[in-house]
Amino acid sequence: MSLPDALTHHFSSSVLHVRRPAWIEIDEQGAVLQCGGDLAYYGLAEMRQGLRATEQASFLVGYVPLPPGSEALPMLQMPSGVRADIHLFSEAGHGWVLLLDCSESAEEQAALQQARLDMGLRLRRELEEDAHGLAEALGVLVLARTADDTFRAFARVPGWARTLWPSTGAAHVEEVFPFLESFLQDAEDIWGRRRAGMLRSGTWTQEGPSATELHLEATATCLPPVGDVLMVELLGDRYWERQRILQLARDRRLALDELRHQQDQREILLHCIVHDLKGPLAGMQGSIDLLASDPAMPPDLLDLLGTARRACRKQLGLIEDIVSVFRHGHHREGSGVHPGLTPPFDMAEFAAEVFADFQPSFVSSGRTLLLDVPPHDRPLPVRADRRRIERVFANLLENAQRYTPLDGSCSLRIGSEDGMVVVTVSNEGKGVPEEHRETLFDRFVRGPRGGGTAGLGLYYCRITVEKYGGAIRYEERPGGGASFVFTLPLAETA
Amino acid sequence: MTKQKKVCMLGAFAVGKTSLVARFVKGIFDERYLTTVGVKTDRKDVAVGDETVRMVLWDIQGEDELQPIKPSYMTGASGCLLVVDGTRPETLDVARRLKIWGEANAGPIPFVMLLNKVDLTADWALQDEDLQGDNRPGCRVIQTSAKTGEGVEDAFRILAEKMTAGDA
Repeated sequence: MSLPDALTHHFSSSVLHVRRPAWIEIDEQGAVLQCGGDLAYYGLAEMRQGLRATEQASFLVGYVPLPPGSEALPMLQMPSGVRADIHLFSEAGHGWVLLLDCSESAEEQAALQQARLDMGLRLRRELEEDAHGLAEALGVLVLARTADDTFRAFARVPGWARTLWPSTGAAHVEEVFPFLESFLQDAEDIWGRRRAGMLRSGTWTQEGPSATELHLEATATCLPPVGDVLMVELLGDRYWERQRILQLARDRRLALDELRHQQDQREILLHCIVHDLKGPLAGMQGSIDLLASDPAMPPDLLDLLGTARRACRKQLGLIEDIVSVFRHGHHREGSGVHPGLTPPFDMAEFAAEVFADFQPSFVSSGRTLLLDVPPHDRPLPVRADRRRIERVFANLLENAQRYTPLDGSCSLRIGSEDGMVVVTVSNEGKGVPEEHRETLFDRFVRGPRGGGTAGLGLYYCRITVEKYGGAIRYEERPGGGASFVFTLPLAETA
Repeated sequence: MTKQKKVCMLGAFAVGKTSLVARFVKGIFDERYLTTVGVKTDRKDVAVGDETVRMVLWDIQGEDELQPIKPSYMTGASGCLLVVDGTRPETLDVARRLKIWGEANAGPIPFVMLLNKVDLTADWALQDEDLQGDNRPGCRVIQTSAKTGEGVEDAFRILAEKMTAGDA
């Protein structure tokens, strides 16, 4: 690039005036060939020809012989104390060192740097002050580990800890907080950088001033400007919130355990009573059967024995319900059938047998029982315990008989629908009031008129049909009265 | 010279660990059940022969799925009190499990099993045969009542003796 002479002259006179140039020419062996300019300004007035350059200017050590090309060393402090920009370059096998004064800009830069540093320090102090205030406000005792494994308060010591921890100087954490003795060992993983993040000690409680209890938690972490840090926090309301939730859960657990215990005792007692009742009844039934088998027994006495036998059977049935209910509650039998264990039977055929058993009782009580089995082209097999299903029929039919007015009729209908056998027992009674329907199949729930029952019959029906994969429901009978409908799955037959 | 020994109290929740410490250290009892969160530390000096043992008591929160216990709580323990509620047999199983857990984390330290709430005679549910195998050289079984104080001093003293027995 060529410049007008006026500019070239201006530049060179400016440089000569402001930058106070000095120069050194060095031969291939590193000796000074010649030098000149304002060497004295840089403290190099003693520079002599023929002597090694590095011995006269130590800043050249490592740069001589000068490598090809050029290099700049900005703002080097010279022996005189001034700052110079050093330009090194080679030309025709000789090295050239050009020194240009930059003291003014170096001072400006130093001033700027100092200002930046001062501002940084002030900011840090303010931040630390804020952190101290924050730690104090949060009730956190921030401790920094020292070289001898003691700790000193990094931030201001919060009020709760002032009687425990010295505001100045160091102390042993485990002496002030004995709980932390083993935690400090675990914290080494964090402080030794073997684990990232932080480690919490878990909650502990220790005696504070005036025999108060302090609920505390510690956290070990590393904070780069501080080093290994242990923060001890007074939990205050957070502790009590945690305690309240846990207390609630445990009180409920204890209450539940107590309830279960009482329930067990009640059911065991019930079980004993039921078995004590059953024994004499079985004896009575045996005696009645023996008397009835006497061919010389007069017909009128036979009728009385029949009544006594039915009463026994009814009472035994009730006891059987209670025992089944007890077993259900005690063992929580699962629902579903075990194929292969329970052989299938035809529900239509079974219902006809039940009908034959119960019809005389309906007739003698002045009521009618009708059997309705629509024609079907195949059997209706179900897998269930026949004896238990018979009790379901008996409970439903006895209810139907009890709630049907004199000269009224009841019906027993068997059908199938969607893979289920559907059994409907209907009566012409008043039906079940709306408010009783929801709990009708619950334990110890008695019908609106009580009727001297234990409130277990319909519950027994429900648990039995559910055990075999079925269900039971109440329906209003068209034209008045009640219908109880239960279903059982149609069994696959080989 | 006073020897300092760390003692851990372990057991299911609501067996009376905190009440036993309160009875032993302060001689007080409170009927209310107040569940412990984390650990409560306390200390009491016990005379064993000519020596004084400073028992640093770690009353550790009741163990269940709501509050599992940290293994580090057992670090440095010299002995352990296993507390069972004599009216709740299931707490015996918890104590047995905690004994195994305690040995795994603290090594072969002496244990004393406290069958607590012995004052509740009507509700007492533990029979001698339930405890077969629990009363052995490494683990004494003692009936206690934090309410009346029965057996409490004995239990702590026996543990203190066991802890110092191996010291030179």
